[in-house]
Amino acid sequence: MRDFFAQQERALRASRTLLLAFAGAIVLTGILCYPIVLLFADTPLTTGKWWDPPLFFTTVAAVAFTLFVLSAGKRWQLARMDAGALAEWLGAEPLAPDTQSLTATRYRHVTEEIAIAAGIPCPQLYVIPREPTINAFAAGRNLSQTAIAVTEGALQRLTRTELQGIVAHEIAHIVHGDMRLNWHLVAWLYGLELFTNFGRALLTDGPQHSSTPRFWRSLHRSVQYRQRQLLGLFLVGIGSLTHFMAQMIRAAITRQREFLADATAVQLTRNPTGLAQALRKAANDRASLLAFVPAEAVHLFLIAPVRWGGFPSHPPLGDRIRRLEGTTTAPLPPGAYLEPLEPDEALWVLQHIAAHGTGVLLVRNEPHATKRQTDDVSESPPQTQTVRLKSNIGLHPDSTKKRLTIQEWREQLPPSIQQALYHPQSATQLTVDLVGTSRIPAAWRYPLALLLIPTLQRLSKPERKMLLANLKQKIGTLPDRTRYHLLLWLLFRNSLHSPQARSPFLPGRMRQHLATLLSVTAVLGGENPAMQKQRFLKVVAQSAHPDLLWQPPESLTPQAIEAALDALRAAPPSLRHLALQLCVALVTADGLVHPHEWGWLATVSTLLESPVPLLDYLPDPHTKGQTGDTQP
Amino acid sequence: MEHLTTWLLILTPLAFFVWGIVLYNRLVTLRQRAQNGWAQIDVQLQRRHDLIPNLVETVKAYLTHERETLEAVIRARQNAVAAQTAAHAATQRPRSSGIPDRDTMAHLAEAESALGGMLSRLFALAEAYPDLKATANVQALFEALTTTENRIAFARQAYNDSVTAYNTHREQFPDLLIAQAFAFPELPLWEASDRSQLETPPPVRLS
Repeated sequence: MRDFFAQQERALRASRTLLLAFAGAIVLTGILCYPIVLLFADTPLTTGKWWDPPLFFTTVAAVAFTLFVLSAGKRWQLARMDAGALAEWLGAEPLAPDTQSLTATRYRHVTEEIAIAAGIPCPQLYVIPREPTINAFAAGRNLSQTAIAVTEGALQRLTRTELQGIVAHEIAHIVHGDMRLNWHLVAWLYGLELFTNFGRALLTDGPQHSSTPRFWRSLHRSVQYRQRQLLGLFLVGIGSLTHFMAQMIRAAITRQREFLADATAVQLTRNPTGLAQALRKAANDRASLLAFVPAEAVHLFLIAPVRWGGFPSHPPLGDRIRRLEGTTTAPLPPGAYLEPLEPDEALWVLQHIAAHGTGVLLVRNEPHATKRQTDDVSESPPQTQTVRLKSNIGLHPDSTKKRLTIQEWREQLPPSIQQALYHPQSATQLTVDLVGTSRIPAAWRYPLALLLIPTLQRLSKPERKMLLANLKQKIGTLPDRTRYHLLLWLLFRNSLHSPQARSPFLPGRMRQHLATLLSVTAVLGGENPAMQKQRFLKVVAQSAHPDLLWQPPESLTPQAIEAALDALRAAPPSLRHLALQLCVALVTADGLVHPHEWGWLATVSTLLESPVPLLDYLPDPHTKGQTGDTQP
Repeated sequence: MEHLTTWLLILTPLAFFVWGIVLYNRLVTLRQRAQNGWAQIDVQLQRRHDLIPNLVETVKAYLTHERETLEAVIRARQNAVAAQTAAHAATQRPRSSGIPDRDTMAHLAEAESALGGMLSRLFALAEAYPDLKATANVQALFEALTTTENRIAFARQAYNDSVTAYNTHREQFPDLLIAQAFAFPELPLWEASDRSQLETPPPVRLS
């Protein structure tokens, strides 16, 4: 965020407009009451006069004043609570002034620094103990009497810069007087609620106990039952309508105030990355103990710990991070790559994708991994630093490897890419880059594509269509078009396009399509053409269809591959399962599954709507002769 | 009609007078804010100067091969203390606005910037000594130094913001007239030339 003043101006303007709208909702209550007053005053019936300006303005003023009086109690109750009491009510404990632990000292120092930058007295410090997530809140009536609290998780897990970012956000709330603004909004809402309740009381025939005040009972007697019902119905209708509107506007106001506080935090620290990184860390948090925070306090928090009612009090984290970081994507650094996987690991990954969406497990070899002892030198792939497969069932028998969840892998990406992954528009840009340029390392393509798909699916239908058209055109104009591009295109098309009408099942052409699919899979192995053909023939010979013909690479046009996949989609499940098993056999034939190969398997599996075969079916690479066919 | 003219003759100067008071008060408020900002900087610089002897004393045992750097830090501190004393003296002169004049300020900013450069060099050096970084005492000292450096930066930011606001008003019409009449001086910005720091990157040993 370079221009934080412009961002502040934008948020301030939006929140001012919304405040006007809020006032409008209060006035609207009065305006809607005018016809009722007319009806009950009987004036139009006797005089025929429907528009009576003095009566109109009196009604509006009276209703607004009534709401003000009704909300006064709540306002007083909220304003009376001092910052410390509020903090303790929300479960925070004061930071002991004599604590010498490094985290506590750092927290105290950071707050004092930001208070200097904001030119306000340092707030009282509180900690929310035993809370593992990252969060914080601010409280206070005026500048001289404020408090801020951060969770223990934030103290433990954030770096100094990140902590500075969230403290600056909270101090920005204090500087802007957001607490006070919010009491007023909450109080008015409460007034509208009482208004509605009054109408409800009239509807339900009113209290008849002897304990009810006398004036209430006399009021009931004086108004006809039917009229009472009608009046109650009107009041409930009006109250509910304006209460709903006011609630919606209040949520919009608090969301704008969050943006404002973010922009001000950047102004105070002159550093957007601290807060952005802290929000990123918080985005992966689960299982908060703060789930019982009452509704009127949710807006105080850095991140909404719980969502009350229909309207979110905070903007989506992705939007906040995007505004903080700006939208430019920097080029990728060279040298970041994924290692090829062992077949069992690759299949495990694929099944994980199928079961958990994007929760992929990737495996990276440590540099000191032992060299592969190949059975057949001619078949060994160019990579040398891979680990020998010990077992075909279970994961990572070898302790020299490190597991990375796809989330962890994502966190190692450059910040610009991570940020692009959150937001549909920049994700679109990244997708075009992914398909259209060679800037992105080949091994990154499938994991990135898998991370991008959930974000892209948030685009509207026309936007998705446009993206696909754009991708198709981009691929068409590429001078060095490879099969990677086609595979990526198919993956995107399949996940972004609502399934089109299936082509009819034509058994006569299936053999040809299956051969095409398997040939493509064999070609992806990446060695010389002779080796590809040899592997294809070996696997096919052991299958139930030994007469499948090898398709030379030049015949594997994009159209042919697309047609083959579309046709196989229409095939019966058993045939699709067989196709996938043969693909797995081809991919694992050399004992290694490269990232692009497991990406391809994932694509085929999703395209054919057939799960990747279970681990029990897994061929043992030590006995290469038996790889391949396992008839269902 | 005559009454109206009389009233206009009385009220117009009065209105201008009240307006003048408002403008004057605003300038005073802005100047006050700048003075507060300066006081904050002064406090934080003092804090930095007080911390350094303690820091050098503590790390000396570990950084036996970095005697020159440590001596350079001490020298830079002495320069900065001298510049600060000069700045104090400048504010004690008659008719001073409570903020040092431009030259004294520039001199102090230069000295402090040099000291800041030496300190960041010390930070970088400490990175190369894991056992030094691991000591609790040293950790606390470095945290104290980090916060002081940040406070100086933030105080400088707040001071410069308030001085800019003050100077802008002082030069704009109609505040200009009041400023001229009551001799509101132009206040200097705190401008440290960070360039010397950038040109000599701190040496980092990878052993």
